[in-house]
Amino acid sequence: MNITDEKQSEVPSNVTDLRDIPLSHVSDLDRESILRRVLPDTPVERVPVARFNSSI
Amino acid sequence: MNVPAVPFRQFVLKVHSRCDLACDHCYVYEHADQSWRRRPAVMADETATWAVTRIAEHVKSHGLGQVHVVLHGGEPLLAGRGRLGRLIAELRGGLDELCALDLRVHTNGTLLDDRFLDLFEEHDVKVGVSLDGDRAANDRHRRYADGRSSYDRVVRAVERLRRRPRLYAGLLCTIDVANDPVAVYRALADLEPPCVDFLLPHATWDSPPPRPAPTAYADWLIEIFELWSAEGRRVPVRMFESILRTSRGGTSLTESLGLEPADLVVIETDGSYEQADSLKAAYDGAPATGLDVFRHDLDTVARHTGVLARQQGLGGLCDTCRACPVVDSCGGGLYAHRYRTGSGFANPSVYSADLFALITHVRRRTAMPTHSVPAAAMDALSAGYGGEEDVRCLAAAQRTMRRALLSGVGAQESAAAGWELITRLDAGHREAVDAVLDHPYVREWAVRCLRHDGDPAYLANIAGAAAVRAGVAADLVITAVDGVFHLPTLGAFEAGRAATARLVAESGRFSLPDMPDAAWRPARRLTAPGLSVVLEDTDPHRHCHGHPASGRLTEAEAAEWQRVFAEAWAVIESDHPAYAPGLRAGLTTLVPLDPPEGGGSASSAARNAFGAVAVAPPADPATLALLLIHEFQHVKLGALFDLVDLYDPAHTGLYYAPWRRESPRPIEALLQGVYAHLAVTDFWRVRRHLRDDGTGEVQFALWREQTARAIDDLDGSGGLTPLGTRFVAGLRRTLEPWLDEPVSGRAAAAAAELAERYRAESAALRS
Repeated sequence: MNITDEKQSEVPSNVTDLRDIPLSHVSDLDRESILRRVLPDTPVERVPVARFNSSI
Repeated sequence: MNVPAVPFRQFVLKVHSRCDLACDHCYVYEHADQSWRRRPAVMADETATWAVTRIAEHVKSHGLGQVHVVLHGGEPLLAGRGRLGRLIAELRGGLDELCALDLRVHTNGTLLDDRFLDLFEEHDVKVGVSLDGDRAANDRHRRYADGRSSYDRVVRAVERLRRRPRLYAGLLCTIDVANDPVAVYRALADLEPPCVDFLLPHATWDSPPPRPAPTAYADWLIEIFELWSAEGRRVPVRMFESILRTSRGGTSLTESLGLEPADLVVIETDGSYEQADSLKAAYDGAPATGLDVFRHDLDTVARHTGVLARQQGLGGLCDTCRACPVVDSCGGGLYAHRYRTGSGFANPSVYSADLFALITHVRRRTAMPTHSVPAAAMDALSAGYGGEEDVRCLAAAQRTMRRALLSGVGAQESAAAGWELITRLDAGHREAVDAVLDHPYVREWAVRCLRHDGDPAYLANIAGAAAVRAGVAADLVITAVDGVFHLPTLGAFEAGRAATARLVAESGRFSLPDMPDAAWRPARRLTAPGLSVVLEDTDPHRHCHGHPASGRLTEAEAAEWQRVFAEAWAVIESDHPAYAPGLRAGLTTLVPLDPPEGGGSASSAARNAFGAVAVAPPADPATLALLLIHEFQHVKLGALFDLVDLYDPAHTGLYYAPWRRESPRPIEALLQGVYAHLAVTDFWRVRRHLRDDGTGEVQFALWREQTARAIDDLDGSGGLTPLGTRFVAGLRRTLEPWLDEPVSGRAAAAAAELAERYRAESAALRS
C-alpha cells in the first residue's frame, strides 16, 4: 500500500470539545477560541495591556 | 518587501536615558548598542511636545480607537515629578479626546514613592515594576553601582502599589537560570501582581546566553509552569497565557511570542525614532531609523525597512521556523534574539530550543480533546446529503458551541441567579441541562447577549426549564421577553405587563405562584413516523429568520400543520429518502412564519439556530417537503462552517447568485446557496417524473444549470481552502451526472428564459 494514498480518516477541527467539561469549568481560553469562530464580528478578544514588556 | 505598513499602536517614550541602578544584565547599557552615551539624559519639553503631536496625528490619520504609551528609560522616574507631570498632562491633553489612551510607566521602583503615585493616580498611569524574584535572585544583578542591594526599596515600592490596585500593572522579571525558579515565582506571586512577565535575557547568536543545559531556560520555566498550574494559576503569567492562547488560535499577549505584526515604535530622549528596544542587544546602532519627531511623521517610520521586517508574520521567518510545528505560538521568538553576524535576523531565535521545549510541554500538559469530522461524514455531506451519524456529529459540536456561549453569558452580572442554578444542575443532572441547551434558540439568545442585544437574565428561564426537566426543586425569578415568560422546550406563560415572575418547580411540576392566572402555552409537537419536532410558536428568540414569525397558533392551525407535516414527511421518505436520515437526526424544531405578503412560499434557517427550520404555511405537502429539505441544507452547512474552514473569511469576492438577485453574494453565502440548490435540483429531478404539470422539468433544468455555474464560480474564486475545494468537488460529482439527464426542448427553453430574466432582474436591481 502506498501510504501517501491512504485517506485521512478524520478531518480535524480546532474546536475544543466541551461536552464533558462542567459549565463552571469552561476556561476563558476555550470560550474565546470558540467565540472567535462563531462570532467573528464580536470583539471577544482584547489584549488587555500593551504587549511591549521590556524590563528596565 | 510587499506588505502594507501597519499603524503603530504602542509608543515607548524614553523620558530619561540614565539609571540609578547598575544592573549588569541591562540591555540598554551593557549590550552592543551604546547610543545612550550620545543622547541627552532627559527628554526636553519641546521633544515631548513633538512626540505627542506625532502620535496624535497618527491616531487621527488611521482612526485608531486605542493606543498604548509606555514611559520608559533608563529610569523614567529620574525625570522628576515636575517634568513627568508635564509630559503626562500633555499626553492626556493631546490624545484623550482622540482615542482611549492606555498610559503606563515601567520603573525599577527605587524612587517610586507616594508622591509619584499621587501623580500617576491623578492621570491614570499604570505602573509596572522590574523585580527579578526573591532577594537572592534580584540581587544577583539588580544592584546600585556601589554594590548595594535594591531589593528592599523595590519591594517597599510594590507594597505601596498594592495599596493602589488601580495603578498596579504588574512585575517584570528577567530570567537567570542560576536562580531558584520556585523561589522566584513564589516571591513574585506573593506580591499579588495583576500580571507577571518572565523575560528571556536579551541575547543573540553572537552573544548567546549562559546555558548550563541544552534547554536550561525551558527547564527553568517549565518548573514554574508546573507550580503555576498546580496552584490554580493564581497570578496571570503573560508568557504562559500567550502560549495557551496561541495554541488555540488566539493572539499573543507579548511581543516576544506569536506571529502578530510589530506595532511598536520607540522615541528616544533626543526625539529620534527607534525600532524596538530589544534590538540594542544585536549590534551598535541596530534600533536606529535615522528619523526623528521633528522632521518625520510616524507613517514615514512605519514604512522603514526594519519596521516592515517585523510585520511579515510567518513570511518573515527563516525556513527552519516556518516548518516548525509550534511556530504559531513561538513566532520565531523575539526578533532581536535571532541575530547573527552574516545572516542578520534570518535565523531561529538563540532560544529556539527552549521555546520549542516549553511550548511543546505546555501544549502536552493542557491538551484538550477537539471535535473532528469523520472523513466518511465529510464525503456524505459534500455529496449534498449526510446520514444520521453524520448529522449527529454536527449536532455534537453544536452542544459545545452552546456550552461555550452559555458560559460567556453566565459571566454577566444579570445572569448570576440563572448561572448559579444551571451550573449546579449541570453537575448532577446533565441530561436535563443538555436537553434544554439543545433547544435551537438558546444559541440565538446567547449570541444576542454577547452582542449586547439580549437579556442575560433569561438564563434563569433556561435554568428553570432544566430544573423542571430534572425534577429538581427550584425557586427563582424568571424574566419576560417579548411578553412571555418562556421556558425553553416546555412552553411559555403569558406575561401581560409583568417584567419578572417567581417560578417554583418541584418534582417536575411548576407554577408562577404570584401570577396564578397567567395563561400557560405549552410547546406542541408535530409528529410523523420516526420523527417528532417542536412546533415552536412561543419562544421570543425565534424572531431571527428574516420573516415575521407567527404568533401563538390556534388549535385548528396547529392541527393543520400536523396534517401537512405528516404528509410532507411521507413525501420525503418515499420520494427523497436520501434526505430523511439527516432530517431525522437533526431537525428538532419547526417555526411557523406568517404567510408572505403577495403570496408564495417563505422559509428560512438561521445560523444560530441549529435544528430549526422556519416555514410559512405551504401550498401543499410537497412544497413543505421541498422547503424542509432546502432549509436543512443550510442548517447542515452552517454547522459544518462552525467546525472547519471551507473558505477564507478574508476573501472579499462577490458573486452573482440567481436565487438572491438583489445583490452579489460573498463566498460563504454563495456556498450556502449552492448547497441548498443542489438539493432543490435533486428534488425537482425526482419530482418531474411523479405528478408533474411541466413545472418540475423546468425547475430541474433551471437549477441544475444555475447550480453548476455557481460551482464554477466557487472553484474559480480563489477563496476556498483546500478542504473547501474538496467539499465543492463533492458537490460537482453529485451534480454532473444530472447535467446529462434529458429534458424536453420546451423545458430547456423555459429554463433558459427564466435564467436570462433572473440575470436581467439582478442587473436592474444593482444599477
